[in-house]
Amino acid sequence: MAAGSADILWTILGGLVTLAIFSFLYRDNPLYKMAEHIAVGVSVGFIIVTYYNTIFLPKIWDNVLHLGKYDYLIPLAFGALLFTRFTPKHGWLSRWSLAFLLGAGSGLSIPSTLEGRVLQQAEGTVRSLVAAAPSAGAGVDVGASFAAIFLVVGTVACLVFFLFSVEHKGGIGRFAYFGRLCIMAGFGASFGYTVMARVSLLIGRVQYLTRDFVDAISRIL
Amino acid sequence: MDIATLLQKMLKLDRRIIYTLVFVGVVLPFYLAWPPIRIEVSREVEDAFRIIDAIPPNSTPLLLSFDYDPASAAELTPMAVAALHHCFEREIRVLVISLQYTGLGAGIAADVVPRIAAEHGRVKNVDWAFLGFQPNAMVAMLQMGEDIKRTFPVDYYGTPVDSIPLMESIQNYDQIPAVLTLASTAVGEFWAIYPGSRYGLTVLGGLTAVYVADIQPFYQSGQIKGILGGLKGAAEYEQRIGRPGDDMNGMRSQKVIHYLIILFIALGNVAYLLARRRQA
Amino acid sequence: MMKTRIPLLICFVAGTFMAVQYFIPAFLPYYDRVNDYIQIVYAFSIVLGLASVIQRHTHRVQRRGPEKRRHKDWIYSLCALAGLTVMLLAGFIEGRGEGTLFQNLFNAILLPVQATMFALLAFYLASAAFRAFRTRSVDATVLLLAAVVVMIGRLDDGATLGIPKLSRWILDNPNLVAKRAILLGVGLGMASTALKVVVGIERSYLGSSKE
Repeated sequence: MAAGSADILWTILGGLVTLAIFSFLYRDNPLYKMAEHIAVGVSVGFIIVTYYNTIFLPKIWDNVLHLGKYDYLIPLAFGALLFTRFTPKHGWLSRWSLAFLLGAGSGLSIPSTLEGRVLQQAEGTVRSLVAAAPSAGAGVDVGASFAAIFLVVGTVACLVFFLFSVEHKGGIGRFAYFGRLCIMAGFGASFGYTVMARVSLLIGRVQYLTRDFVDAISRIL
Repeated sequence: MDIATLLQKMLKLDRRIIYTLVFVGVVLPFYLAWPPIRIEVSREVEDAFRIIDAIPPNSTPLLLSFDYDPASAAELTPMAVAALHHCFEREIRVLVISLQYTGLGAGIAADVVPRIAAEHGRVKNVDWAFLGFQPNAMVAMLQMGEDIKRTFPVDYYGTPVDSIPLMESIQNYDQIPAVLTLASTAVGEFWAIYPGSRYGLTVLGGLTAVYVADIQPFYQSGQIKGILGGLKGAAEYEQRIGRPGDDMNGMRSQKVIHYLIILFIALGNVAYLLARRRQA
Repeated sequence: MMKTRIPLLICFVAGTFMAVQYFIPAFLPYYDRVNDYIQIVYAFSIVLGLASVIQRHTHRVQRRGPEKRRHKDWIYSLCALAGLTVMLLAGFIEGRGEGTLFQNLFNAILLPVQATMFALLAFYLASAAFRAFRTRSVDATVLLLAAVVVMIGRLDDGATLGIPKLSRWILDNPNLVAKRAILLGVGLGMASTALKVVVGIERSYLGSSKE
């Protein structure tokens, strides 16, 4: 079969599968279920083949058999122990593997999380105040100053809102309420962007149907 | 029938009518080239463009990471295509990886990258290379800070990375001017938090619109130096590189649907307020 | 001992080493090796999940129970297993890469299905906007107003009313402070939870059985 014809047939298959999934909007139906289940099978197969070629062959097989790095049998053993979860009697062995994964992952994340999520974020908040400070001879940049003060005050207000060990009454209550309004505005912004994101996904699919799929059908007819 | 009653009846509208309105709202702009739209390049996109554009040709490669799955392809693949066009036109080398944990991102990269490279006559493993994917993003990012070849011993096609000409002088992030991560999940911010903080890697984010609002603290603090946000970000970037594409049509549909949803929210709330007033 | 103490010890040793290596360059060769180990074990954990999926669909296709009946949706599970088999054969026999059956099946089935499933959300969003998004309180009003301004501002519309500038202001000010506060809280929470896991205070991954 010529390469062009094969591409057309694959495009038509993609379009038919897309329409099958869209049919769910009317109601759940066998076409939708079939497309969904075939995709599940295909994705599992895809992941297995990819993992085999990416992890098993280069990181275990090549290391152990070709490079003589027998210590790679340790993670292989840990990985195999995970499958003991399928047996009620020996399932506890999988805890060793989980303990290694969680422990190593947690330990690895601690320094970077503190630096990336906490320290650099705090620096970003305070640095803006320093940047807004008027340099020698120049006037005050009112806009930048206001923004910098808002950044510091707003961040603290939002943090106070999440502080539940202090009762939100009086001055603290009003300050926390200001933080709450900022959080609501932030969630509103996120919602606005979410609308854009979800609609973009639909636009992508409709573009595929109205352009590629229709073009492929018209070439066949 | 008064307005309040009419609106209450409208609120009970069959959801399939709403779906049809949405579908028509998406499709019509494709054929009518309406409504008019205006794309202004935002400062986040301009920053990303300038950083990529400053990479010297035929030198250190841009690291392009496909950290998304097919669910977000509609938003992020246009960014990937635009970035590849930008790089290949300027003869900037590209090193492609994927850290999307199921490997599906690698499947997308395997389709997109060779196709765009072929359009520009770029040679595989010389002008671009695709190293494949690694499952645990955090570990892979940190490991690449020491030794990229150890993290990816073979490329996606099974070729030993040691034998790839592009990788000859590449050891770790010291030889990578910037990474453009195309991400639909928190992996995007992982680049800033892990290799960004530990190795000082310049991080650019090509993100789904859902994450744009959340990633602003990283942009403000300088941990992420540029952002392409959603379909609009892709359209802005295409405009900046002088290759406006399908995203312009997509933005027309965006406009129609945005106003449709605003109308739905407004109608729903007017009906609600009128009903509340009536009860009071 | 074997069921609780040894996993806690493994967790502590691995976690402490990986935290401390950040500060000690001499640990680098061992750090690289342990990173490889983590990738391998992580890969097995993903494959474990896949094995569960395969097991579930296989059980549905088999005649089970006292009446030796198949599950009512067994035909769909058969489709899933068929898709799996074809993909495995294509990937292992022909290989991956452009133009292969493996890549074509990914492009023609997996990519459209996943993309379309998420595209359905746009419809549900519109329906929810009509039926559910109500300004019942000041907070909800602020949220919806911010959302509407951002939605219009992103389209670069309403310039005469200053909406794009207002949208930009919302993004750079209240949104920024809110998200930053959340990030700081999450960062501190993550670091403390990670520390609790490493030292063994947090041991929910061990399950509930006693030693």
